[in-house]
Amino acid sequence: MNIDHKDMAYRIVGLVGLALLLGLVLWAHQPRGSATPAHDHADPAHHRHAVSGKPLDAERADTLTPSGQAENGVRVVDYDAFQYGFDPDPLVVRAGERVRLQLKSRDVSHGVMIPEVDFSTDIPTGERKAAEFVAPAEPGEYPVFCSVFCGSGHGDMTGRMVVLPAEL
Amino acid sequence: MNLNEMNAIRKLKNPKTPLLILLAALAIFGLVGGHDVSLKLAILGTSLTAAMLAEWALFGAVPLAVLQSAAISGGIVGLLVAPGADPRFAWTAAVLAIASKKLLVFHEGKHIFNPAAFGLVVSMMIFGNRINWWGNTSAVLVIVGGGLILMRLRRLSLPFAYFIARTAGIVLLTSINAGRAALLLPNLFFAFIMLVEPKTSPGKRPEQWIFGGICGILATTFYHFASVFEGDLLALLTVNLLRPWLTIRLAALQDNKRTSS
Repeated sequence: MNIDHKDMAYRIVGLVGLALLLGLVLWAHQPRGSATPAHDHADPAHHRHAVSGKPLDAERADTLTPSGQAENGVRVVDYDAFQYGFDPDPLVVRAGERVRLQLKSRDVSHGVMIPEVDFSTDIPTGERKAAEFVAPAEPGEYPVFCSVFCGSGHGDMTGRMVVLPAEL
Repeated sequence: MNLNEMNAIRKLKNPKTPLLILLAALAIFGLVGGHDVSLKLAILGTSLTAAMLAEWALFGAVPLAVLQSAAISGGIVGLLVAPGADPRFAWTAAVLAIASKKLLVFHEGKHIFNPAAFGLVVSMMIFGNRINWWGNTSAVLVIVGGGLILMRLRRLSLPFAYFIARTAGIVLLTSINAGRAALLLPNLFFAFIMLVEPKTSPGKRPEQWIFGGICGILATTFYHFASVFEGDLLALLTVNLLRPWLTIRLAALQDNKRTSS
């Protein structure tokens, strides 16, 4: 009888653990915006409430230049993903500017997710695609993740986006 | 308990058929929901054939259970190798996986290494990295299917220990908060299907927690400090090798406790 109780307790704890893990997975995979964000990113001030990046020290900001080229008010950056990282890393942009990433995967399918600006898009193998977002208004350093499972190092595939102060 | 009852329990706890069904479901999911269907089928077919042939060549007459085990190793290899990779990579990985079961064994008769992990790591050393885990397309299927199989096998502590250690490692080393770390889920296919192979992982729960935890810590270490491509697989081979030592150490600890009490 004692064994039955133990067995039952093991099953209950196991099922609860599995349910929690399943909940976490479903939560992690729920849509968090897209390449066309849901809220108004034309207004950079919209992001002031949600700064979660590291602050950027002035000395460091002086040593960095924005990635890519500015074309008609849009910063165009060739941004590559590979197992397990991004290039360029860090992606350097100016506060509040519109950024167009020309995305390419060097190996397997990847995704790019920048939670701070509700940006998330996948990068299928062998295809180049463009996606846009508006950089946060607050200068700082923000994390970039891979949003598509790409191998056992997927969990460690992080990059950085450095936001420099807007040009005066 | 008589012999018939023991055999019935053994059959009930035999995970091979449900695991094969789970692998087949993952293969279908990966084929239906993605690109490169013909390339994926080619890789899967190559590794399954190679594993079966190797089993036949090395073990002679092949009973159904052994054939199932070859199909599992070949299937795992096929679900991990990137579609379009050199077929020699898949072929070598599958043959080495089966050969390791026969040739690399502890004195107790159990093989030392997880066969698929061994085959893939050695093939990577020969041909370079050709793995993209295309079979890991449905985390839900892996958790539900794998979880239920592991609950029956009483091995659920293994993936949980790995998951906790690996997530903690990601949080500590990438300095992102725990909420966001959930977006970077560790490799669930690895945790629920590879780490838990009954012959190369411990059966007792305290050992399972230590085994899974060490595997998670090692994998994180390999990725961050050694820039190893497939740190999970390498970590698994390392803990496979440490398993007998771990069992002896824990048994000694328990003996000490019993003596002192």
